[in-house]
Amino acid sequence: MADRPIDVVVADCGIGIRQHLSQHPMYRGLTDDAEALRIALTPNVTGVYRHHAAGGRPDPQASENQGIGLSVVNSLARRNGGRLILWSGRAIYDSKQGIAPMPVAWPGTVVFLRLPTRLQVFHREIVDEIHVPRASGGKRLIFE
Amino acid sequence: MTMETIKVRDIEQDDSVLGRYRGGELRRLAVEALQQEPRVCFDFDGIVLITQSAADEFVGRLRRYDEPLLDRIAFANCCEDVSHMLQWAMDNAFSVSERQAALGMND
Repeated sequence: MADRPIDVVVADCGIGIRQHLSQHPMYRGLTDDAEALRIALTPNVTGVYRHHAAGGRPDPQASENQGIGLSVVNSLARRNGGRLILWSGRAIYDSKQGIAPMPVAWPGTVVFLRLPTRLQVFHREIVDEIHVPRASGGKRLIFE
Repeated sequence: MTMETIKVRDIEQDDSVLGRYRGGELRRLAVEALQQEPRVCFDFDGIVLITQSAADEFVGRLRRYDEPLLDRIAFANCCEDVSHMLQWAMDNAFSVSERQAALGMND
């Protein structure tokens, strides 16, 4: 039997990717939706920047994304012959075609993801390829 | 030495630990258990997958804010994918701002 793909569509009418990224001090001046999509697909990027309270001290209760999920999903789709489409504001990203302007703005974000049911490249392999500095200094968790 | 064992499969709806909410639940269970016992063991028998976000919310966040607790937590019956992702989250437990600074993204 042929491998049938799984399609997932999620749409919201939230603040959209550009405004989400603008919460982060690095991206506060962002005005271009296409540039926002390009940045959002980069590993280690997130608009969530509430984890340092006033005075710069970490707030352990605050939400704390790592900025890795979207780039992992994009790689999963591309390397498994699937497809990721993101439409936010006046720009659209298609993993098969790149980023392009849209004549009509979507007020939040639309995500379309297509993946084959039999993956050739797995989540673990893609996460391993993401370049992040090592934090633990080789400390091992205790596996029994 | 007494040690509480938490069977992850008993508290998840299926054979996977998916997303930050579920990872945060494991962290809360660990912290609660370690208030009563010197050690806690998370038994991952029957679990085939933990996502990066769930692993980060569980062990990554402990590494950032409560690192001594990790010396009192054991992980049992982990399949290779689960142990790999838990250790990956441990190895990459910088906060985003720290990682961006280390990567030169704040220049």
